Amino acid sequence: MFEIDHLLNKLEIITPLGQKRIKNLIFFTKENQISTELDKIAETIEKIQKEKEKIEKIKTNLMYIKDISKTVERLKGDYILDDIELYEIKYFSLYYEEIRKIMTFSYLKQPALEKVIEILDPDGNKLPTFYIYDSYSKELAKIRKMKKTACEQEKKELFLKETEIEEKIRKVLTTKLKKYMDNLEQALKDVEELDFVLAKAKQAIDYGFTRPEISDYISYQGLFNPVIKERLEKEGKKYQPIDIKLYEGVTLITGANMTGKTVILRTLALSQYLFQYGFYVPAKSAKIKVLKKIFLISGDYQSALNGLSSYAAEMLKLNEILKYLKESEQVMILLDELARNTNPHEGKLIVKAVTRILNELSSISLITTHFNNVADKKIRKLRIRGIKKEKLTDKISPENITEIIDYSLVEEKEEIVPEEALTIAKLLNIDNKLIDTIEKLKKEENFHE
Amino acid sequence: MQFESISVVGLEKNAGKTETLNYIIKKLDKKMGVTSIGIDGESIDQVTSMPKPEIEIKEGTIFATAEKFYRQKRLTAEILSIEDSLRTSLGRIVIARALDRGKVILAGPQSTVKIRKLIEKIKSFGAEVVLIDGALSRLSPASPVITDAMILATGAALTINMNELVKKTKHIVNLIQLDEYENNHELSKLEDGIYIISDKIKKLPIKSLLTFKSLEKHILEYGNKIYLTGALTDNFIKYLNKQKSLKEVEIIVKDFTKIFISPETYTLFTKKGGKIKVLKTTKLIAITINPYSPYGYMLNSDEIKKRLKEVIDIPILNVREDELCLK
Repeated sequence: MFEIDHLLNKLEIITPLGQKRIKNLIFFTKENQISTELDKIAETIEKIQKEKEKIEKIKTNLMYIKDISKTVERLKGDYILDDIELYEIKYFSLYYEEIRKIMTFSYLKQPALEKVIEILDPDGNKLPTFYIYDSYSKELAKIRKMKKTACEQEKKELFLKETEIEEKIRKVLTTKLKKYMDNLEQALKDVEELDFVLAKAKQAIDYGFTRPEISDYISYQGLFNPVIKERLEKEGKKYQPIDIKLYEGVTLITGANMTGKTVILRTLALSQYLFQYGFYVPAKSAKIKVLKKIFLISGDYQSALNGLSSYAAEMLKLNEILKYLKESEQVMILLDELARNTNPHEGKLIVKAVTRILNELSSISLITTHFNNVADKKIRKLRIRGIKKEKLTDKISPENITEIIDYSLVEEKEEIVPEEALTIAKLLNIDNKLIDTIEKLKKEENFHE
Repeated sequence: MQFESISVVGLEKNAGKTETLNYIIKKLDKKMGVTSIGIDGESIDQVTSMPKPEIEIKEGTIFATAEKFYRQKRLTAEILSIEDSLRTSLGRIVIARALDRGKVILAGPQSTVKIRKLIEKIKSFGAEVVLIDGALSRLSPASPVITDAMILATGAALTINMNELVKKTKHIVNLIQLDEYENNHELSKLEDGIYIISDKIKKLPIKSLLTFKSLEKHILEYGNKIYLTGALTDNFIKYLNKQKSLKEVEIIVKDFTKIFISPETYTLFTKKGGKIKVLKTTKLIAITINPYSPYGYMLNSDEIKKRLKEVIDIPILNVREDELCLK
């Protein structure tokens, strides 16, 4: 989904370890998993707000962290680490220790790597450089000293000796480091986690996200689409957040064209994904149910599936959902103007049938439609308020559309599909002859009825 | 010496580039950095099967090479940095400080942008001057875009015919010492292409000189002053040489590394009055000579020196003899 990718791309991840986490994002389906993730963000947000300087210091040190998991992995076998690998471990440990000393986080284990540094920094210089230091061995120091004044032939022999001793020392160092392998692995995990949670917390603050409450239904106050909101605000326009509640079974949404039906579906999908990935969500307040899977059918599939008409592609996707529902329940199904690409008579029947089937299930379904009379009394219906009455005389253009439309939802007992297509066409200043002809036809139709 | 970076390039394989580098490292009394452009690989030269001398660096030198060669180094050194963003086929670039004198094979990044980044990084560890070992017989690292100054290695590897050697060397020196174009500032901003300079600067509808014959008119009918951002080819100058006189003709290129014309073509071009200028000139510090040919011949080094000095007004050194003198 485009919005989720966009938000993930915008996360301010600093280390390659954190990047790895984004690539392996987990879709949580257990309540306790999600609340654990949300707790981490809450704790981190508090720290970002109260300890600004310390957090900045952590971030600066994170910039030096590299992914040394492959090198740490090598400690498991009989392999003897070479200078480059020893350097990497020392370098990582130095910056890791800097971070560890700044602050504790309840969700990190934060094992000490001081002993690792001691092993690789025998002179206690605390510099991010490395070689097999003279102080590891008196003999080594002696040979190196002799080497400096030796003639070429002697030098060659001394160099061989030096290499031999160095290799022995590397073996000893590797053996010593093995003891701290678990600590090193944990430290890598900690850095990955810290980098990831810091980025999530920062994003939640920047975008005004909220911590969702776990619930057995879905209820949003002030739900917004952060990607669209950002774009509108850049153009100096206001985004109107909406309130919406969803329960098990089907909810039908009607609304004229351009009133944001698709945006509602996409925003609900986005927020549900964020929630189940353990993120804060784009709303003023939110109660969300943990679900097993999210299905969103929106947009034209023709280009996505070669050779199939958009109707066929949509049906195949729908079939996939129905098949899944036979095995599992508790999913979110979002259908945007189902069957819009076929004839209205059969299209209506399709929507009616799908509504009937989905309403029996313990999943949460939301269907937008233009069709009339597709749902009986049992089905919950929402209507987007649409064009503001007082704005009916204005002309619509991409510049003022957000001012003309009221995007909020009202619950309806009866099914009313707003017939605003003509109104909107007029507002868009469409050719007079076409408008007149439509109005004439409409009058004739009413007369015959 | 006021230069912060110096490239060492050879006119031919085995022209003595490595010995030259070793010589400078030994002679230069400055905090030094050294690396290579590209990978000049094997310790045995694959073409001539001659053992390829590793670079001998002295204590305190900051050097940068690929991981694989770092592991093979024959000296004690302290790792200062590993550059994840500068990778070669032989691993990441390791920057280290030599803790004694010893040998190492150098390798560095290929691209201009990356080699410049590496030069800066080496300087940040305290090197006052950074030497760049040019790869093979390519002159490109000597471009003023990369290094402040250059040293040119020539010798019997180029040819064992003394006259040829002098001619070829003199030709390259001529190109290196071409005059700078007066209004180089306005030209340096232009995007890639070929331009005619008169009262105004006009771009020609061809991308490179490979297609100059596709122009509607003879190129000189557009104007006599031509600036090109790409390579200046031998074919093009030969084509111009068909004209009776080239008195007003001026060709401007970015720097001498963009010029690929033979001594004969160039001589005829200048005789007819043509001129080549560069946007940026290259500072040639010295020429070094290696009298040994990889195929076993040896030229008389005093003779080479003498002959070159007659036509070239730049210090000329025989690095092998000087090395002998030092022992």
